[in-house]
Amino acid sequence: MDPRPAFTLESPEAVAALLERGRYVAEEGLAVAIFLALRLGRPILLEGEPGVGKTEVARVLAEGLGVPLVRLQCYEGLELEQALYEWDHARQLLEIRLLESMGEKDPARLRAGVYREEFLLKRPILKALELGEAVLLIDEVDRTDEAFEAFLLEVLADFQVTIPEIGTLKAKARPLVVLTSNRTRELHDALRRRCVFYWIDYPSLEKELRIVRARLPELPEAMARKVVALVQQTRKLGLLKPPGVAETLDLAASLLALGVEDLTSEALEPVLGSFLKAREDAEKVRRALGELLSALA
Amino acid sequence: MTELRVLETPLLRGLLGFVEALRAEGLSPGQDQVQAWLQGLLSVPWEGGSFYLASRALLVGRKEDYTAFDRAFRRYFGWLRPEFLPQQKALGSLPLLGQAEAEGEGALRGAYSPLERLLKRPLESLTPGEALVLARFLLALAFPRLGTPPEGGAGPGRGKGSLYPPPCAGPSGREGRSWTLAS
Repeated sequence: MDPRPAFTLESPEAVAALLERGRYVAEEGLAVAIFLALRLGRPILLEGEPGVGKTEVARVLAEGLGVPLVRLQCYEGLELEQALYEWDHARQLLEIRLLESMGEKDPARLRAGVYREEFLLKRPILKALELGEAVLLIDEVDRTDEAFEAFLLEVLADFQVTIPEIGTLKAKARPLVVLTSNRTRELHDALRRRCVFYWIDYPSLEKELRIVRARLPELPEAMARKVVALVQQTRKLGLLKPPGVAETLDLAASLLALGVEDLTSEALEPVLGSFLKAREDAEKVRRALGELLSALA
Repeated sequence: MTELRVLETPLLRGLLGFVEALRAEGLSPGQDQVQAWLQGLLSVPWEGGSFYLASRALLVGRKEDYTAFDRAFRRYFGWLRPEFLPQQKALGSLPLLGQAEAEGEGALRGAYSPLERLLKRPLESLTPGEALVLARFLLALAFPRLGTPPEGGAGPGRGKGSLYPPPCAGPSGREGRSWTLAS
């Protein structure tokens, strides 16, 4: 019997409310998808442009559910050992020395003495399975290779891990698994089929305004509206790295910190870098700034 | 899965017809996804946007497939409007579909709408067209408010930012008036 989902919420509205308490403004579709992931004990795969708040979902959920967030940041060349477990060789050697010094000479007993759970360095996936009641964030899964994806598929299918020296460790309950992808590589269908899927789009102006207001309540509404409108316009310029919501928040926070009271070219000049990550993009926006600002007025 | 037994067989068939509609659009959800979908449908309200959003989240795995999904959804569930269903007749005579009627007893047989007659036949004997009609009918009974409300209506399916794909015209090209099956 598969482990049961660790927790459940009674409705998509309850999920939305929980996210809202974490100051995460969610679309109905996202709330429904998370609700189903919790209810069915399926992983949820979130895709979308960088900066739309995919990772944030996991953080807010963990906080709202009152469980630890276990994060596995993926990168190229990520090995199973870093995701699952490693043996603590240094401590194992010390233990062998210690046992030998106490007169233990039987190799089998020495082996048994060091291949125990206490010499296991538990990495995120094993940690999350052990906790059960946790949110496991597998961030930017598109950065790993196919072999790792295949391994994930196996773990997510039965929520158990076999360690040859110890045996099979099975999760007591299914942690909520949140996978995110920026689509630098196309994920395999098999993994997609195992997940509840949701594409997080750039938010609408009104929604983005709500996000900014929720996060930076001290920023005057009129100013917040202008900032959001400006960022939304720049997303239409075909930039290399269009600014995400995180960048909108960075920009708003910078303007707030600088005490800027009106959006002008001069005021924006020093903060362009806070929401445009590529130099070419900053140039492009700088050139279009006059036009963008007059459109806001 | 035991939970799925709650779904009446005809309704289950009606729902599974949607999977066929998806296949016709080139989408091929796996068996595991379909099962999760059916289970998921047990836990969300079958009205408002939830049915659509839950179906999409469970049956589609990539953004590129959203458009094809919407087309299939519109085509399959979009006709769930009263004027496309034999309202009075179906509603009036449905309670008669008890054991006796199902066995063909009673003088009221002639009162059955063609749809109700479809209800009595095993799925294998239905043509794909008949199966589709049946599925729509059953779904309309199960969640009558699903679909597209009239222009300016407060329900799903209208206006910018709506959760539903835009409504499609029915067989006669007319738009739906309003939902009356529920009341």
